[in-house]
Amino acid sequence: MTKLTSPTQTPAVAAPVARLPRAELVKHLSRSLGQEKAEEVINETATRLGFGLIDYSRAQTLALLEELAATPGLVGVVARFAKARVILAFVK
Amino acid sequence: MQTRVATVIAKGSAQEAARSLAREAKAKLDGAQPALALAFASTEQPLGPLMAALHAELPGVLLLGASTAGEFTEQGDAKGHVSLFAVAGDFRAFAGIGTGLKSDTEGAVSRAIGDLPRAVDGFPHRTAILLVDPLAGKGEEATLMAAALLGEDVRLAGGAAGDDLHMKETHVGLGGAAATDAVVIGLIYSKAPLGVGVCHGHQPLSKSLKATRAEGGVVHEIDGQPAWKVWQEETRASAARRGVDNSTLKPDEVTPFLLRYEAGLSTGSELKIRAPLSRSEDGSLTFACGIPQGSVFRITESEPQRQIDSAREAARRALAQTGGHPVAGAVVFDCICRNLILGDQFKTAVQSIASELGGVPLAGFETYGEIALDAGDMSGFHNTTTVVLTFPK
Repeated sequence: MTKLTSPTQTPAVAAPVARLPRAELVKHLSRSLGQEKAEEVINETATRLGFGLIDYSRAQTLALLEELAATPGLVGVVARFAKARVILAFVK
Repeated sequence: MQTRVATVIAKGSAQEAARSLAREAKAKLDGAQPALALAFASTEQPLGPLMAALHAELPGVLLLGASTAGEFTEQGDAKGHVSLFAVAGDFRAFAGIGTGLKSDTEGAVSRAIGDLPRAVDGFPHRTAILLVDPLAGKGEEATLMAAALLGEDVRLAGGAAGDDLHMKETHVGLGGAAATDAVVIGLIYSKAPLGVGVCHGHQPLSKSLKATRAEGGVVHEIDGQPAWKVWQEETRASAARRGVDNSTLKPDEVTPFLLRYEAGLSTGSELKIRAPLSRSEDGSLTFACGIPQGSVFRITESEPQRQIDSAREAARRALAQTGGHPVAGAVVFDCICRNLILGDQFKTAVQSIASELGGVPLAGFETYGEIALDAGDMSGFHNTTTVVLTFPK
């Protein structure tokens, strides 16, 4: 199989960051889940993992989204999709 | 090579419609072989026989199809017809189909994408067309999975099949066959970008409501009450202004009613609309994609002028994506609710899209859900919208 091409469209997240604000993560999930449900699942999961509610490192974001990805139904699907895209926001 | 687009609408039996569509499309394309054709058929031309007949009439043409709740071209709209969009030019198109969408969404999407080529030399732009069975209740799930598997550079457009508001069985098709509980994914490689624009014209009607008991695409209770009861209460005054008593709706009037009053999830900047497709005996409502328990939304409504304006805006957004490249034609995926709201003015909305694009031919169908996802988007399944997919000249 040949590799994917990389045409001219813009990437998902333009500027790399060191930490991702919680509000930014909520925003990504809210596009499919709505603001309130996105807030609920992020806050619950972050609290359970002991991450706090301000911002997250790359490892914390991955852990958070992986935890959510195991949820049945739309929440899990949205988290798996977000994981692939949101992680691009971080400095390599 | 210059792009040529043919749009045709026909009626009659599946065989009669297929013959008529193929004959007219060939004439309009003036001998050019289409790279891709899309057929959108009412329940009067069952999609299986229609695809088989059309496939025989257009040998060698990649043919995608969906059953519908209404069909149209730039000439106007109809019920009980088949609309066809055929495009010839500098495009390379491929497609696959996956079944078992409801029970194994990821598997169905993976099978549809299967061995589609990941690159074609000389054709740097990739655009995917998704046609899904909405009654599987996995519209958003299938869209996000397809986007993840295809890669971030692929724009997605498409629609959820219809069945003339019977809500019994919807079909999608590829080549000479059709299937239910399925997804069809077409992948178009082009030298210039295709444009995808999406817009809706709904505004909030109710207070905030919470899905307090929900599973998959079924919402059983809202704020602790049966979902349908809440829908009735929150829409009673608006319906009465239109002369509708929502406590006396006949069974076949419920779905059209629900499609005028859809759920709007708050996403910060704008509402994400979710369509309730049917009501069950127990008062639960079934949606075209998952509604997680705990979701908060407001019931929305719209008026005709906002629907016409939003159709134009969708066309403008599609144009904006093509970098000023002239458009040869467009495929339009338009929510059936828009037709219900617009009535006789629906033709005006369709023609306004064609006009906005420079008077080009277009064809499309009235859907139970629309798909539009650009690079960077985090959601791709929509309701109550117009999705415009433009092909460059």
